[in-house]
Amino acid sequence: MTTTTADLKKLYNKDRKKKILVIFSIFLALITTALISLSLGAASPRIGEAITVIFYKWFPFLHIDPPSSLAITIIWTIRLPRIVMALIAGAGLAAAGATMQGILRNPLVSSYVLGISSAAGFGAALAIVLGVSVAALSGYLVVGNAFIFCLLAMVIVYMIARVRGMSSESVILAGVAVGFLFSALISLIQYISPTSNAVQAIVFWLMGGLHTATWQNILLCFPLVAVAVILMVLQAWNINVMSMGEEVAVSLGVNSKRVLAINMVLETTVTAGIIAFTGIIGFVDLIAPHIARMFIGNDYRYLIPCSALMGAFMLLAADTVGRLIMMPTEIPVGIVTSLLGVPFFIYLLVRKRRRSFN
Amino acid sequence: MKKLTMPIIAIILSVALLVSASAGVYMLYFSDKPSSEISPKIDTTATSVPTLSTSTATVSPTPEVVQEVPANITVVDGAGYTVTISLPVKRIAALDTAVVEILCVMGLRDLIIARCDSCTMPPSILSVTSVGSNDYEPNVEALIELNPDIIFCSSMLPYNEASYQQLINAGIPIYVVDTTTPEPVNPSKMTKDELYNSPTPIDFVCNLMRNFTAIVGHQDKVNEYATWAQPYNKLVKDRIYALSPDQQITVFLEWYSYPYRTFVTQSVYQAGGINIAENQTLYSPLLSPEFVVEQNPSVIIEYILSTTHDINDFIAAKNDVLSRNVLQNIDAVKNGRVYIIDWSARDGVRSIVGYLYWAKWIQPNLFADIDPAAVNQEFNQKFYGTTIDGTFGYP
Repeated sequence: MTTTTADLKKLYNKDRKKKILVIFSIFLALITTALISLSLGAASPRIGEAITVIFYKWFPFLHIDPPSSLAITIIWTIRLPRIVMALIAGAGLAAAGATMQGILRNPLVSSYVLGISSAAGFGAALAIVLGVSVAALSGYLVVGNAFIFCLLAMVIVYMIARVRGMSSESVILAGVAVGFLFSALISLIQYISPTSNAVQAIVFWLMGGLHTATWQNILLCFPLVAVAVILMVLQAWNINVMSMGEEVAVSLGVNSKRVLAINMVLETTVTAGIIAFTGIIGFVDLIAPHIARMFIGNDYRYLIPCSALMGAFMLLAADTVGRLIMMPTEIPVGIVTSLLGVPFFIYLLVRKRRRSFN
Repeated sequence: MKKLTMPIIAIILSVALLVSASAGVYMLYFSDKPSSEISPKIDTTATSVPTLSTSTATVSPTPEVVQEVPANITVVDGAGYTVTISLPVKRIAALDTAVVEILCVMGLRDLIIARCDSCTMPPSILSVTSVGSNDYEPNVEALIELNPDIIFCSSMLPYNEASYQQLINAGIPIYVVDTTTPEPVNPSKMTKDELYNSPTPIDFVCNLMRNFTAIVGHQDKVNEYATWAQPYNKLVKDRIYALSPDQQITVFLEWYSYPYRTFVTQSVYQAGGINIAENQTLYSPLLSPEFVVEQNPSVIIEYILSTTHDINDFIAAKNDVLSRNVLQNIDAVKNGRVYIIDWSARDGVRSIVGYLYWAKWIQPNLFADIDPAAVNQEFNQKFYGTTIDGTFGYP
């Protein structure tokens, strides 16, 4: 029996529809989680008041009766920015993780491995300790410094890797080395910090979290992440080719070094743009792409958007659980992400017997 | 085998992350409870345990006067350890901020030969050799070389088992002091009389000092301090006793630089307030910002750890809270009732100053005639013989 082009096309379309269905399902789960998250919290406002506040703020021409100032503060100043930031951060980090895992053909790549998280932590710690005062936390000194040091780490990694021919191994090894360097510098700066408050602030920043989300932060963060993720999706074909190996990529006319460099810049920009505002949020960029890959395979045209949705879902779900499980006490999102994500990941790993990576 | 490598690595990595996360939860919510709650070794009442046994020797200051003092003394310290100390004590390493001040008030400043960087009060202590940044990780070699007769430290040092054991092995007795004031249990359910009779930080520190006298003497200095501090203590108790329940106001306590992390200390009641976190089971939980907003506290008190006591740190802390978007609609921020207290003004001999600050901030009408800053200077003048520049509460 021979397979005709029409059969292949039919098979391709069927597979494509299945992938789109998976992406749509995750999207629906995400919307449901967002609504639940918007409805529940330590304070009393529930879904009805939440929707009223959103309509009141977004559609003033409808002349809705103004909700109570308490409801506006709870929904508009606290709950909604936090949900939006969770969506942006989760999507951005997971898309960046998926891209770099593909480009570097390594399933363990994450912002930690590439040294970016440690660099951000050092930048923030430096700003906290050497800043005029800890009150600088309320400004953008810490955010700016964390962002700059992320980019600096990327430049250092790039330069070291370039000396070794820009291979994926050299990028990873350089990233690990730079990560250790910045981790040591964080420890050093904590050790010599002149005030206990500064040490406390550094620890708090390194734990990461979404409760510092504000609309101003979102306005700064969202365009950066959105543009970079779109550019990543546009790179999907190149990543598909790169994930098959450097030799294949070269034989298909793809300049692998250039693609690697472009994606390093994109990944760093997204990660830096997020963790500069949220503090270090680990795990999502490592695991969300794997979970997405188990559902829809390795085609990066679908994997990047699917990972982004999965990352957004994971982070929002974790943050919601962290907010609700011991109300009004909160559990930091990084802890919940690992506690919920790891068992789920192991379950998928055991249940899906085939290898998902490559 | 090669096919199995990736899943095995992934499982190992996942399990490691799970363990890390569990450890994180444990550390976050259990390890920073007061030491008395987390370690079976710690016994807050143990500081008041009297001498268990003594042996005696004859000391003859002059041929005419013969005085018997113990050659060594065995006591149980604040962590529940039995410690034998040779007397008389002439060289003291004091590694905790509150303990240093207690010893100085007891007139023992000249016996202190080692401190930590965090011990900066009274200023005369700065000339003493520092043996590390804090008492969790002192420089063991330097301490052994200084050869103190006793080390006074907080419950942090025993957590560093290696250093603690090395010092014990070197023959230096270590007396762990738990300076954390025990909290009244369920003060919201207490009668007025029960609350009145429950110990305040100042009652606790006076008791602590009395225990020290078994080792270092100077009972007269302890009496002098208690005579000075107790009238202030009674003044606050009496005025709060007269307060009706509807006059109590809500208070949110927060660690500065760790937004929404609070304390479930009930001593807010003793100063005429209600802690909005009073029903939380964890000692230092991270509260939901929306809970804080809904509770609408009338007063916010921020804890700061200041070794320099620079007023600019306090001003910056206050401005940081006042500028938070989320808090703009709560009464405390709208009315500017955000106050900053240094941790050292809540523990130890200076806790009377902190107690007065709290009472004045929470019930300003009741304590309009009280100036805690002036009481602080009175304390400095009386016990250190000098005025000291530095802020402990603001404003």
